[in-house]
Amino acid sequence: MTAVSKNIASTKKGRVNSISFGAELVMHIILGGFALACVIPFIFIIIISFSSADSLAEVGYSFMPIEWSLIAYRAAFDLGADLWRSYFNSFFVTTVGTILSVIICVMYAYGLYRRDYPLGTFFAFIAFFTMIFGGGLAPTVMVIRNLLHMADTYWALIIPMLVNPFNFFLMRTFLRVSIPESLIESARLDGSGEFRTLVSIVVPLAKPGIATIALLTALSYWNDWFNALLFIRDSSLYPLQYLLMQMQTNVDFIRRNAAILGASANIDFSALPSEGLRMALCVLVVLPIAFAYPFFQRFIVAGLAVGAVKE
Amino acid sequence: MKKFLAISLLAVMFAITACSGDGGTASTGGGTSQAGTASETAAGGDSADNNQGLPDANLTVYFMGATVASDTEVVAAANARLAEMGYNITITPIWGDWAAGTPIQMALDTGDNSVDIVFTSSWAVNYVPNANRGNFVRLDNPDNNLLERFGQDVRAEIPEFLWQGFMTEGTQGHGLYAVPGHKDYAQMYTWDVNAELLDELGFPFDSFDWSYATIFDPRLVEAMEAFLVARPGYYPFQIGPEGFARSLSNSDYDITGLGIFHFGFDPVNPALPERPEVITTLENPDYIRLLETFYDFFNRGFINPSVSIPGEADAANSAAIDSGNYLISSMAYAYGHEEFAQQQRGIDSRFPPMSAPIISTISVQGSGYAISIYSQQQEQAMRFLNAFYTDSELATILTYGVEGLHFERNADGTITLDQDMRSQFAPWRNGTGNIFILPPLDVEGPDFYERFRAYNEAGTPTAFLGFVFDETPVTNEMAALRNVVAEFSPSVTTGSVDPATQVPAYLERLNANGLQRVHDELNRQLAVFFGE
Repeated sequence: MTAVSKNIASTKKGRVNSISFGAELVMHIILGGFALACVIPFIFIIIISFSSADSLAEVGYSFMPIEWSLIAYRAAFDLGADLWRSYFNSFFVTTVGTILSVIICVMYAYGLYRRDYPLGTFFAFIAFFTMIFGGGLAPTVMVIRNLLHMADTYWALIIPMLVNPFNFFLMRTFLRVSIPESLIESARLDGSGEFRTLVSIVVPLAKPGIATIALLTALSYWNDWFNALLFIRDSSLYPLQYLLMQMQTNVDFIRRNAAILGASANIDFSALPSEGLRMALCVLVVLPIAFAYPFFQRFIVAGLAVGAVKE
Repeated sequence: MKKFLAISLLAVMFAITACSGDGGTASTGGGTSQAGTASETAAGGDSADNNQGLPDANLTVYFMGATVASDTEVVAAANARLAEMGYNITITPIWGDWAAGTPIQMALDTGDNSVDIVFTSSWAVNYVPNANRGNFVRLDNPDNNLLERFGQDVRAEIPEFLWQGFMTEGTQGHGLYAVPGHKDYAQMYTWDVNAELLDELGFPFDSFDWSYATIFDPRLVEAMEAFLVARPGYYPFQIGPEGFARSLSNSDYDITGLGIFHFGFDPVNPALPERPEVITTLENPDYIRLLETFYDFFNRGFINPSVSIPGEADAANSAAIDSGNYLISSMAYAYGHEEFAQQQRGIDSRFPPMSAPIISTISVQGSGYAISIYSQQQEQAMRFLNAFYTDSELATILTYGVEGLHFERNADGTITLDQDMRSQFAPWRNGTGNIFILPPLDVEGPDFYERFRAYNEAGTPTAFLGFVFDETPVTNEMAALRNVVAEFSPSVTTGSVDPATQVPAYLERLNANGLQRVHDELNRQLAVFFGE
């Protein structure tokens, strides 16, 4: 505990911005309730994924199922190659996409951060303009599919989300707040080139900001299914989210339209994924990215604290 | 620093190599398969005469409802057959599954010119809205009549009233924007009865006449009371938000799609309208009586309250019916559904008809194939559809696979599927253009298609067959009415609320949102339709 915090703790009565015990209790209850509201649905999904099929048929979704079972997870792992291939695709796209996106973001933001860069305003406008006016869906599809010929490649899942102007401005602001320009001047006087200054001085100091951007970007890539819908027809390239979305749509459609489809639909109803399986897949989708949070957390907290320091 | 740069460069090179991966090569697993060029495949044929100077084409055809893991041999055989027929066309099928409606629609809406032919229907990749939006090529366009130029065989093969049912408004005028699927086009509403349980409860299945009016039979109430005692926690009457309420005897589907207009036809002569103008269902005393009956059932605990929650009805009904924990329900029946029900539920479910099978605009639009407006090979696409709908061998390859590999032919004309191969290649037969040129399966028997035809022929075209509502003059009102219907219909039509109070409230909201204008416009268009 630092000297300052000890001092605050020992003079609790007179501390600045202190609130009464009652108000603190109310705040804790409200915030605790909010936190619970966020967590309970996921806990519910986990419980359903461990409920037996009989329990789901008999009492439906319940926090207290009649019978616990691992059958949904066994069924999920029985999906075999499709599941693991999709897992790999999601990991690969998320990893490569995040690395490339962060590199681009840092380089672009560094240019905007440097007040002595003559084209800074122009490039800031270019980035900002795309935040207000999008290109639209059809032109995007035409560029990726017809111009760049990237349909049915990993690039189609990476390129459309590679550049995020919001992240540029977030990073630029972070750099301006946390790295004094005098430091850049000093580096230059010491003979450092632009690239070395960026890599050896700016990047190490900007770790909290970079971690925040990386987490946001990784989340976007991990959760993305829309680009797969637009550009991927080869099922060996399906990311996990798209596989899950497709499975859900497929089952819903069959159950809703079984009568219309007629006898030739060749549907094996016993092979349709159960509710439990779908919930198990949700858990399998969420877990990897949930584990990423603790890794990024210390950087993000540090990043938040930087802006709070008053000079 | 140099080390860092070297590692970065290597990482980027690795990423570029890996991302470029296998894109563009042959793929499996429900994806696409690349075909050779048409000229390679068609080499040596008499294509010069047949192809009318059209350039070689490789067409991408988007199917729906397929379970395909491997199609290499099938695509090769289909392309070989096309070459044998003298076509300078090859195809690259995309075997969409039941979730394919969304990607197909997305391809159309984003102007994806890599897709040439798409599945369309009244229930997925909706035919009329896509024709209205200009996503499909008009096949009988007077300026370029593809049907007349390249589709004369299919024009003759498909019954005329199916073509009539596919006439619609589109950006290129009133006409045909897809080739109709030739399958079960008659449709009827049936009961869905858990006969086994009904017998157990002491109400023999045959003791009911199972007409539409059986819903008002007091003995049905007794049976459902007995169900509640025998199966506590379950609901005997599985009702969807539209299901039974839409099945009013002697009425066609609401062609506006709103589900609030009563398209009644003459029970004696269904080709005549019940009255010259349609009315709203909420003004129909039979319908109100039905809602009152549902409300009574709801209060007695016969209906699951969750069905009134939008999006919940299907899941709640399916779960109960699949597990056999229901007594009665209703459905829009498709030919052969009994086999499904037996496989799915493992109980004695029966489907007595509520009313005679009808042939309506909606039922004939059950499936079809359209040419994307963004296709660069529209003429060749029409030629392929002509072959696909009329050549038994080509259709068989694309439905059942390759003879000797996926199936064997029997002496009686049926075929026997290799079940192992079928797990790798199983398109949806009713999604094939013309199922009547396919060989029957051994389990169906050699006379399967005769029986199928008899079922279709038992259907009666309604007075409204061929009528399509053009909502352009009342677009805003239709949008507003859809919102009102979404708000009221799930509760009013499932008995969850008292019709005595909610029906007037529902009507009031409909009137406040332009019901009269839409009603007038609908009747105006019907007058023109019947006038013609």
